[in-house]
Amino acid sequence: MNAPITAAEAADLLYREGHCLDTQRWDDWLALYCADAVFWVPAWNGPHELVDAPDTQVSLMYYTARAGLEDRVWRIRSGLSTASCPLRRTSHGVSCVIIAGESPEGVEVHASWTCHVFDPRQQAQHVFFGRYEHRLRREGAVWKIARKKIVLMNDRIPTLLDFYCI
Amino acid sequence: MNQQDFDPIGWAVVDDKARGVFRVHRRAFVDQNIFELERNRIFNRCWIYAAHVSEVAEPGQFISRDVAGRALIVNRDRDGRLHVFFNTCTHRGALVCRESRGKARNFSCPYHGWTFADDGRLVHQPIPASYSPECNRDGELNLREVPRFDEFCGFIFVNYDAEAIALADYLADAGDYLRMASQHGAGGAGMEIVNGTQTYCARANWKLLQENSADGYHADTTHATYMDYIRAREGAVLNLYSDKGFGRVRNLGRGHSVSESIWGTPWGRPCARAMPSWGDDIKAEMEAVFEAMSARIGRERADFICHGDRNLLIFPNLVVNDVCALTVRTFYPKAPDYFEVNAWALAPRGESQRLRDLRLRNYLEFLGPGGFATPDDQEMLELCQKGYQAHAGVEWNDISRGMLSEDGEAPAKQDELQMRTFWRRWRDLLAGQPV
Repeated sequence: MNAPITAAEAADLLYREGHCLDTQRWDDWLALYCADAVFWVPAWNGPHELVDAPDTQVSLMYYTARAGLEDRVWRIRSGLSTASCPLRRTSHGVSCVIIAGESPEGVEVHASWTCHVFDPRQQAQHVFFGRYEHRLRREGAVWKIARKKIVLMNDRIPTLLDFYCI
Repeated sequence: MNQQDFDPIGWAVVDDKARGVFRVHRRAFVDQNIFELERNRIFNRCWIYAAHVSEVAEPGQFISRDVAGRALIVNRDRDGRLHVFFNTCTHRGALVCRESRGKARNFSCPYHGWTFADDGRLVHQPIPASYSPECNRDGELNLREVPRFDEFCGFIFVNYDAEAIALADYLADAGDYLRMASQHGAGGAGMEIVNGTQTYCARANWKLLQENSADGYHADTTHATYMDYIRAREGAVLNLYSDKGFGRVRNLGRGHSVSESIWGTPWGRPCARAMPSWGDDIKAEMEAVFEAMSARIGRERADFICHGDRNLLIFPNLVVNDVCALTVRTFYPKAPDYFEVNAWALAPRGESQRLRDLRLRNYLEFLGPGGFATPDDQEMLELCQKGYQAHAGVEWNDISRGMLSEDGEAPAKQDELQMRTFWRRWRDLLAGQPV
């Protein structure tokens, strides 16, 4: 069972996740996730309608285990992905963190986010923004991410989308 | 000012069959005059993909989207007839439909309240007594339909030129490949666009994406991480494929082309080529799909559809990639160095939940702005565009690969015949030849 987590503790975990991504500490970032973590970026179906079922509708990204995220980190580290070398520089901002609910699966934490993205090769920048819905689960002494849904509000995507840009 | 500033067409393509040399001038990717000519002589005259019938299957269903720079409504009226309207009020021009999809019996302009029935008739103007009875006597104030639209195997195309040739003629030999893309699945229940659109853009010329979308030459370099990833996961099975397979590119006429192979690619296909990692259960289900398709359309054709891969290019801006999943992709330039893409997943209607889930995972793994492959393509196109800044110093792209054998039996999949097919058509249309 989950002992309660405060909004401040939840916010701290989300801030640390952003820091890991912005400083490219990929192993530290992966360590924040449960092995069976779901990572989902739904596509949009209309002006205010997200797809709601990743197994029957098209998403932008969808993984049902941390291994999928590990594959993405492997891709970045391989040096063979043109889209990933050089990586964009990013800066995450996480705000409006609230505890939205609790269930036997974990604690639901909702937040707003922005990610400023700079492409050093094109000398171009843009801002992705949206909402996070994290489900946190206690594993031993620490809270980990069991599920993360990323709602990307501005889904006309410049060039590419990767886990560290959102 | 040199000669090239006066004649942006005649010099742009070097097509020397005798020497086996094909070159495209890099100014074709950056020049504002060429961009304007492309809009007038290609996008305003060719058949352009607009929607799939599954998006407007029911009476009253509509979608609205931009197609080649115009806001359109594609809908099915209450009597079941298909329409494609310009999404603009005949009064003062505002969009009459602001939702991207839904069901509607009427489209009402938010500006002054003019209202149009789902068959386009103007049925209401506020304060009607102020209008002369002559006002819409000939229907000139009804919602305006595009000059031409037609459907082929579920794919709805529009044409902004009333004099255009028939769609089936325009598609030439590409028509049968569109038909193949409509024949997937066990049930023969047709195809559907899966909910959820991927929209992305690139700082690159639109023709770079057309070239890239059926380029069999770039896979091992541009997509090295994807190939390594699949090989690591699926192991030695890949060698088996390459022994059984073939690959080729074909000129399908009128600027269309296909790059295709059987068993030649390392990925699995949800219709119906299972990978070892997918497990025996799914393999059995896929074999059942294959048997059902064989019974419906013949074994040879089912084998071709299920076990082959096809990257189909319909001139000028429709790509139907039937690879690790089936995707419909269309794109339009906003500027010489900027285009936007809409991409959808196409799938057999009535497909089992398990196959659909697998299809979508395979789709996301490779395709789309968050996949393992498309981002590398996108980046490559932007690198090319960046390189073209030096077009005055390094003038030509070389697209000669396989040119000396392009009229032979089977140009190899790594050849660049499909690009030459595109560029020859581009050259002819820009020069003012009829579509």
